[in-house]
Amino acid sequence: MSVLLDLAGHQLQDLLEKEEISHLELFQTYWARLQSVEPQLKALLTTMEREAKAQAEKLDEQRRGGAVTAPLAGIPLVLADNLCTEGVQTTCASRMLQDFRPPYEATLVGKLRQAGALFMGKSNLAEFDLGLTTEDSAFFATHLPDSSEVACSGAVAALLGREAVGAISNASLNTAGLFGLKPTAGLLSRYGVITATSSLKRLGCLTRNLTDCALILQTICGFDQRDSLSLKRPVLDYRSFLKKDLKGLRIGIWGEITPVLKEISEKLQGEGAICQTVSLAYEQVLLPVYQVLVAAEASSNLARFDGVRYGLRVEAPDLETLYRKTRSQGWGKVVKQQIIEGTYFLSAQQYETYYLKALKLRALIKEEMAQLWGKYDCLLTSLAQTAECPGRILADLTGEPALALPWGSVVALAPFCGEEVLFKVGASLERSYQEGGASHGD
Amino acid sequence: MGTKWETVIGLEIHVELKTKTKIFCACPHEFGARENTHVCPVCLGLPGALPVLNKEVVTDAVLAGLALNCTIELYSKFDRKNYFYPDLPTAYQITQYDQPICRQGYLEIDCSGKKRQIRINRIHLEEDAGKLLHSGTSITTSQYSLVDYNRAGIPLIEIVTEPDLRSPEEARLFLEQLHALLEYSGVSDVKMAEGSLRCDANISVRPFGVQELGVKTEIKNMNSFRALEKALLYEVARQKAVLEAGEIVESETRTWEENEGRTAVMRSKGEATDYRYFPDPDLVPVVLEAEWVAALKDTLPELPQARKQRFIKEFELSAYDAGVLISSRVLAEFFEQTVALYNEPKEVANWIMVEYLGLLNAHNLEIGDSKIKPAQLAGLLQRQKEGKISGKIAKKVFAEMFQSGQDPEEIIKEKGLLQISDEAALVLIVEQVITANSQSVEDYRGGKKKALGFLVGQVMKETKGRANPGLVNKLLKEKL
Repeated sequence: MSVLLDLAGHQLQDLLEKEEISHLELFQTYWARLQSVEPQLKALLTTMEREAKAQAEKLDEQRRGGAVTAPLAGIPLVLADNLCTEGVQTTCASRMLQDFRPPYEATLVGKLRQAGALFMGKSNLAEFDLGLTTEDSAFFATHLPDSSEVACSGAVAALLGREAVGAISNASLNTAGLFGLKPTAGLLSRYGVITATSSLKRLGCLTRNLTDCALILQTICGFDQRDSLSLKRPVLDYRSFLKKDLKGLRIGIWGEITPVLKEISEKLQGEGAICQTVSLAYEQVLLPVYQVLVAAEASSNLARFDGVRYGLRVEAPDLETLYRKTRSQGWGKVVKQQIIEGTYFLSAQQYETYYLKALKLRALIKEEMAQLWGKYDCLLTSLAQTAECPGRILADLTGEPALALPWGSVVALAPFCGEEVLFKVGASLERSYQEGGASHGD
Repeated sequence: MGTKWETVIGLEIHVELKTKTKIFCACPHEFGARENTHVCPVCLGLPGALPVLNKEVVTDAVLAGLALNCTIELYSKFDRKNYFYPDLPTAYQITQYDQPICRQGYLEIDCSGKKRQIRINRIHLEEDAGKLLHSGTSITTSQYSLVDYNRAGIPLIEIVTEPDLRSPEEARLFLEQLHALLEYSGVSDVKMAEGSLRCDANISVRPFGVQELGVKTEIKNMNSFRALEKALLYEVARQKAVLEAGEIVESETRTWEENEGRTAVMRSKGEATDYRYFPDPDLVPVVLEAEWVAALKDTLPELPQARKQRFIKEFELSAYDAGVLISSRVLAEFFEQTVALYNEPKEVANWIMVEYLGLLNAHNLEIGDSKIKPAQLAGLLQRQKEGKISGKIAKKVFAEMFQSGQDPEEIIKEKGLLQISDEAALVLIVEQVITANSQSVEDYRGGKKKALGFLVGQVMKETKGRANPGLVNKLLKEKL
């Protein structure tokens, strides 16, 4: 039975197709595992046993009646707790939304549900995804078995070790041994995703292998008329990109060349790619620009949490006290800090110095990247040892896609709608590491 | 006193666009629906909900801009105006701050024969907030408030004039003519009573000849054209008194208190809020094509001034009469449709202006609320012309039509109001009256012309007003 826990999503699908296992059996295996590790891990804020079981039973019934064609039928997934699930608690790891049950579901959730996925639960994250680790969650911190600090999606990663095939989460790209794909901004619908920011910190999917990643991406991307920033693009056959070769692919190596990064670039060169080091003129300003924009957007997007219509309300004798008490008690320290900073950056006297300047720099950064993509097809960078990863920040600022690799905290970046390159590169490395072994360490 | 003062007024007008759905979501746009029934995650500001722009809103804003001779900006964008209030679900209003959709237009107004061009500074799009209902009698003493979000997300255009108006009367005329223009363009119902047209004023005074503007106050809560004029007249007098007493006018927002007939301070302008405007990151800019705008211009219906000229030419009406008839699109159409069925424009115009508008005003109704149809008025006037009813009776029938909406023939039949023009029948009554009023007969024969009038009156009384007055006159004269 534990063999099931090691299989990839697409392999599980084969078993289900051949009816070697039932959907219910699969669910029960994963659920049992979850129950055994979750008390220590504490990766989930809400479990969805009833819903997942019901979905599994429904699929079994469908199979008895005929074929099941839903693309993700029976695949156990975990959703980050900032995705609205109708009728199921969605908290963004914040006291502000404790017990909030959305009356509607996010577009992505709907797509996954209709594709037959099983939702095992809602995962922990930093409060409103404004911190770095689940230490910043309002409820509890998630810990890997070795008690190391866990990044937002690391909670999911830990869980994914055995308990789910994939997750839709804030691909913060500190993924502890998983593939984390953050698709081009606009490919995934934001409708129903509760974010403190609008143009930064996008969603992505986390999986144990790249085939599952392609499978999930194909299912969830696509135009959504309820999201003004949604891209009207045909859905591509992402799985087909996994087999493509790398001959002549121009790869830029950005930043410190760690041993793993060196190893990776050698593997890629072995496949016919050309690797060269690059530097970015705007490297130094990436972090400050990012911080200003995140705080500014957060200060505005979080203003709607005022105790009037939903979420936490601290009763008070007058309106202003209601606002003040609710917002003081509803937020943790990191969120409050962001709101205060963001308010400052947007204030009339500071607007030009901070926010406007950040917007202008962002435009310049995009321009520089546009030039760069003329010379390179892909960038590789290693997560800095510092808290914020420059690769992720760059992808957030430009809206371009990124793939976190399970080896050495390396991130691959590609141009607008360049997921094909990411899958090519990732798949080649996946094959190489599977055959030859070598480091899987962080 | 010595100084001659000049009044300077600018207006900020909010107009609700008559679209099928709200500006950023698909909720229906309907007046008077039960509270909180036209709401959804977007206009309730639920976490995770996102705005999507309604194209019809852009079309209407551009039409309004074209009707007001504005430059249509091919690139405009949305900004967030951040502040906290329970009727604002997301704690920011989506509006247009520094790049509005229309700029630099004008509206020509006629002020006592003088033509003035009032410049429009800008028109921009924004969303409306919900409606608050406070328990008790006033906001300061109420125990609780209720919020209705049906109105949250209703599309508005805000029209801002330059401070070109020079008197409260001009301001009222401007608003009336703007009202007509917008009604004609079809973008809004512009009903002040329903809130689809709201007007705030900025007003200051300065000595004649001085270029610098005086300190201005903002006046709110003027809910009719007349209230606008009254409020501004009051405020001008108030400011003059302050200045003539050697004091300075405070920069304030004041509310018009209709019952007390005065303006009162709402808040001091010194506490101006910093709204932290920034471009809304959930929306994309609005980019228009010049050809699209040009094509839209061709769809503008005949606007008030053009229609007025046409009425003067085609129907040979006076400028005054034409002006009254075009003041409302519904009224103008009623007139034209009636004339199409009964081709006596001057007569129809008079009837509408005197009888019809008289009744509407007396009952405090708009022409759109009345039951009378053009065919019915045409029918009534036709019968009067044919002598089937007298002028006096016609007015009675019309009043009845106004109440019941019935056709004139039905009313005439039901009430037996057909004019009696049968000589034989009348002769009998005339002879009866002569016999019964020998004194008057004597008087008349004796030279008192007035006595005839009395005798005519008696015949009319006998016939319940239905006798043909001309014929009665003739018969009496013959018999006497």
